[in-house]
Amino acid sequence: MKKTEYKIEVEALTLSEEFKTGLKQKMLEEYESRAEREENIVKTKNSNVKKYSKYVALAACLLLTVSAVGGALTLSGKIQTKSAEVSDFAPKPETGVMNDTLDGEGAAEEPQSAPGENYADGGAEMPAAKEAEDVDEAVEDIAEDAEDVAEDAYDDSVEDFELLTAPANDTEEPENGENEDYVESVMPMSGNGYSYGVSPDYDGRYDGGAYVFSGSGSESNFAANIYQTAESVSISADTIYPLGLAPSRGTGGEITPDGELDDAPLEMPADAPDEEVEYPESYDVSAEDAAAIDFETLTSGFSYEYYDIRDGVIANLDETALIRFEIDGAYDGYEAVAKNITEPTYIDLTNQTLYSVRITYDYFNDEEVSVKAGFINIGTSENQLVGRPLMEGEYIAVVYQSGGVLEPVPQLIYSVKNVNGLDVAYHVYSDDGFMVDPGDTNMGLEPEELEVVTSTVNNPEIYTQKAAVSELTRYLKRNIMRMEPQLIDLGSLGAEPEGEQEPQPERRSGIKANYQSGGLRLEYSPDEDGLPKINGVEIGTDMETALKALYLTEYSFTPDAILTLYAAEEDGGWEAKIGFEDGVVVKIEIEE
Amino acid sequence: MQTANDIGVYISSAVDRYSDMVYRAAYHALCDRSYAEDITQEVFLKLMQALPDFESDEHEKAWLLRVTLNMCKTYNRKIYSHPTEELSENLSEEQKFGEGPVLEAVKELPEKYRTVVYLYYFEGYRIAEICELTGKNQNTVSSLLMRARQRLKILLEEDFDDEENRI
Repeated sequence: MKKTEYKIEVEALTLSEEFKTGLKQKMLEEYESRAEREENIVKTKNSNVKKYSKYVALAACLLLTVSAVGGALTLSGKIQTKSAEVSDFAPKPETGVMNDTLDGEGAAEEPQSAPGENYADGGAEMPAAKEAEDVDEAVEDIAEDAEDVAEDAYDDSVEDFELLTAPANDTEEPENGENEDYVESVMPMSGNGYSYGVSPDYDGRYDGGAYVFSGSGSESNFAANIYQTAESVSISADTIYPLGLAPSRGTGGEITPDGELDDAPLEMPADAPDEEVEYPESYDVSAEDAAAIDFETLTSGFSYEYYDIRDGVIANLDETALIRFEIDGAYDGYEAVAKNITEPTYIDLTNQTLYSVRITYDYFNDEEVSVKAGFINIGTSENQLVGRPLMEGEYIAVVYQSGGVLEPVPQLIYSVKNVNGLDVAYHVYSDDGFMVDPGDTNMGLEPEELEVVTSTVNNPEIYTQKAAVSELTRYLKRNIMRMEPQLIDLGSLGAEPEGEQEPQPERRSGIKANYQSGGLRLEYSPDEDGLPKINGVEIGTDMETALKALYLTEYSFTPDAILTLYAAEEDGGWEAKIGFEDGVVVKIEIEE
Repeated sequence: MQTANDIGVYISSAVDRYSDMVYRAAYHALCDRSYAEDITQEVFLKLMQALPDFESDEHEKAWLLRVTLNMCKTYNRKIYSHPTEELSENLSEEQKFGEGPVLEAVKELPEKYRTVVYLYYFEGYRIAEICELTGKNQNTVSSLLMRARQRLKILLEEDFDDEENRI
């Protein structure tokens, strides 16, 4: 059994004893180095605390000085005022005057009264002649006391300042043990010693937790990466699914990594439609990084690993290309055939949109191109899906060819925007499934970047990741080209070459089709070949229900030809044969 | 781990118990012995820097594996960002041909397959545990294992794992 063999072979994969011994030595050195760093940090912190405590002492002394001087001056003024008026009062006892004034007890007991009021209000008798002299002495004493306090404070300050300006290696211990306690209580060391950039939750990611930037490091790249902290990324599933497309909350425990619901208010997108959208109860998803967002639990959609897409989808494509293109508009199928955008084969446009796109870059061949082509993708204006139909603008996609038009690998469509001078590819979410960050190129999204385009209510363009275009395309190119795929000859798609006037094949075939207000109108125009003129043909109402899928299967026309149209629905279709004789419609057969 | 003696004992024990495991996991992810040794060293130095309070041996083992896998992922990213550094260039002839046919076949698989194969078949982790280690969901891991087996069957022309209902 191969499994057993595998185990035996893997067991043989061992490190040499020499390596292990060396590793142990390095680990020991790392530990010692760590211990040394820890010790230095403790010293630094102790030193800092000592400095802080000195600053506090200095500030306190200065405050005390100012208070004392201010108090003394105030008191002095009061007493002098009182002494001037004291002769107006009856004699007071000689004792107790200064006590009340000096010890401040009166002030303490009667905080509303000013110092010296006790004396004034005391009612005790005192010889008027001696009163002023005694008060003057008291004032001098107070002034002297205040001066002493100020001098003491100054001395302390100078002493503290000298301590502060002492050499950094001053290891003088604090005078008491309080500072050590202070260190522990105010700035405790990590109990586990995780103080050197490795948190207890460290899991080996250099880009996890603190920052998610993984770009090339260029200045513009960095500027574009405004997402700095994992904690700042908070994705509201209701922003992603404003129409309540989010999954039932019945399994809410699976919604967030920690199973918590958050009622944080949602902000309406800046470009939201005018009508108010009723957002359901919100919950936020905190993600370690954008790649960690588990859309499979958030939605009913699927999530894919990039390699699932590469090996399961891209590897099976006959031809493929990685292109950058601009969406110019959308065709109906008939128009596309008429303009040679597509081959005259059946394409169901019931739930798809056929876009007119201009391919501007071929990444697999690393060359600029200018090719106009058809590009088909799910979603129509009538049947809108999340993120579909695509908006006008610039995109990058891995595509394959189907019936002459390009079709994207649905999980590999990126909207291109220029952010701070850097071309950034935003992965456009669709119900086809969320794909996990290819090549770890994801730079992370700010919440406001999650939904950038909301032209209609139903199909907001949701972004799940962003990457520098250069990095993403380089990764995809390298990764896909390893499989040596057949490449699409983009040049062969050019139905409307750059700079040339649009050909009008409908005139060559002598038939022009217009899709008008629920009916298909065929108009025949004679060309230079002298085809006879016939009146327009309108397809009957039976066809209307399937008009979006109506497609020409033959479009070469002669006066006696039978023009065959095909229309389809989910359950089947119709085939319409329009017969002409001498340019006159002789029959219209519609077969189910 | 208060004294130098204690830490010495711990280091010795950790290296003896887990270094081969870390090396094997890194080797499965990178397919390169030199890089796998580098990763092993980095992982154990991280262990010294963090010195986490492990609740059990299993916790310690899982921590080491998670750090290893994430470091390998980062390392792979670095390689992809620097196209001139091709991993295969570092493969010596001895390295290329010194392994058994099954391991050689496993190495033919994409990285994510190799890792889950290693965790599942060699380390004996259950799918739910692999999900925690790799950060992938259960369906993905199951799918990866299934596809890995299918590919190995083609490569080896024999079932890799014939136990029924293994997954």
